[in-house]
Amino acid sequence: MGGRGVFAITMKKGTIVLLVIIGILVLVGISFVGGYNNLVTLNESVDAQWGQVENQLQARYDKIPNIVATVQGYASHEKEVFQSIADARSRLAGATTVDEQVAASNQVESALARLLVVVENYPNLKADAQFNQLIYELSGTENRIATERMRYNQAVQDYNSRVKRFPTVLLANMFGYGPRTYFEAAAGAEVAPQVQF
Amino acid sequence: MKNRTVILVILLLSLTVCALSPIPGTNVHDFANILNNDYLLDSRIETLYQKTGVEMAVVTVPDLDNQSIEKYAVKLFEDWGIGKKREDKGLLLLISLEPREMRIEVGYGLEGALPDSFVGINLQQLVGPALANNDISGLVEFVGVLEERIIQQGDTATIPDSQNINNITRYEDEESRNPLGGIILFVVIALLVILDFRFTGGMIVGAILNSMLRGGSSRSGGSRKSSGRNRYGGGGRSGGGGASGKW
Repeated sequence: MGGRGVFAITMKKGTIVLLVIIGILVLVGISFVGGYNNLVTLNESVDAQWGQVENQLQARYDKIPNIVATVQGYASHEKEVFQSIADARSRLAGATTVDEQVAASNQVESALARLLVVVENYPNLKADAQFNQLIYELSGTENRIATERMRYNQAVQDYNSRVKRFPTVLLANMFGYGPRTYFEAAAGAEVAPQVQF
Repeated sequence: MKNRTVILVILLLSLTVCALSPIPGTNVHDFANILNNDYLLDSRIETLYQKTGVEMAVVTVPDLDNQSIEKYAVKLFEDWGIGKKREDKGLLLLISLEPREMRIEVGYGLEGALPDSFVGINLQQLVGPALANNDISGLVEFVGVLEERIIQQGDTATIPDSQNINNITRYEDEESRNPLGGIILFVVIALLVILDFRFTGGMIVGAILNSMLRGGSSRSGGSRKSSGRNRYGGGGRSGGGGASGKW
């Protein structure tokens, strides 16, 4: 109580108002710098997370020939399925932008799903130890893609909501930070494919 | 008064982030009450930890909240932070009663030593029958198989001298990079806050706190645990590696 009295006496009203204004300006400045840095960090984490997605897409890409070769050993006449997988795979190889990669990887996913349906008709194939192993690896990779995709979308959501919100939206426009695109999964791709043994 | 409400709301929000908490003092978290003799399994996992530094949690749940077991496992793994941050050498064996499913989730750092097919085939051969026959020995054996493989591949984790090392939070690095700048910033902010409370009754601080509360911080929480011996909470993560099955 005594402190307040001393404070009021030693400071003139004009000084106090000035201090408060400076204080507000400093706070606004800090929040702008913080907002900008935050934007940069979030943008970087979207990129980093997309890198994780790409790694897993690549891992799947590399596993396809093995799977196809094994299935062909038992079901060589299912040419249509093999063709659709080959098409999707080469489309993925040619994809450069995020949108193209998303579309191509969804195509690969549905082609592989069809392959697994075909597999159900070949009990000998399902009993093959090597095939067994490949399917575990494939469904593991599919699940990794789903996980990294989820984390990518989370990162995009964090970033986008920051970009669109006031006052960061002013900074985002000033420095050219636009919203990023989500990785929309193909319908029914939320669950990793499983073959029942 | 208003500020106190804000703080209370923040506290409540951070509580609801993690619905399922680890049972302190054990590696086996039998929420569905389906494991007999789980001290056998617990001490086997403790041996695994002492030999390799790998943290493993066995968790049974009555149901999966209408999610796939894969999603549930990834979330639980990240919530609990099994394994140390960046090393990510943790394992989670998740068993659900309804539906009867199981999953071994492998942390990022162990994916090299434990390929999906290896853990998948062993899960199917050892854990599945053990659960169906209500016999814990298959699960104990499973831990042994994983341990052998981790040691054989030379993929052990560092074993901390003191358990306190697990108290590191996920944002530790970002926060402690520049202590001097932090102190100056703190002093400036403290001064401003004092001025604000003196002349406006804390209006500005209240407004800022409010906007911060609305403005995200959606990824906080999760890795902070502080009850009992800290087995988890190291911030380890998994990326969907591992294998699932039915039992």
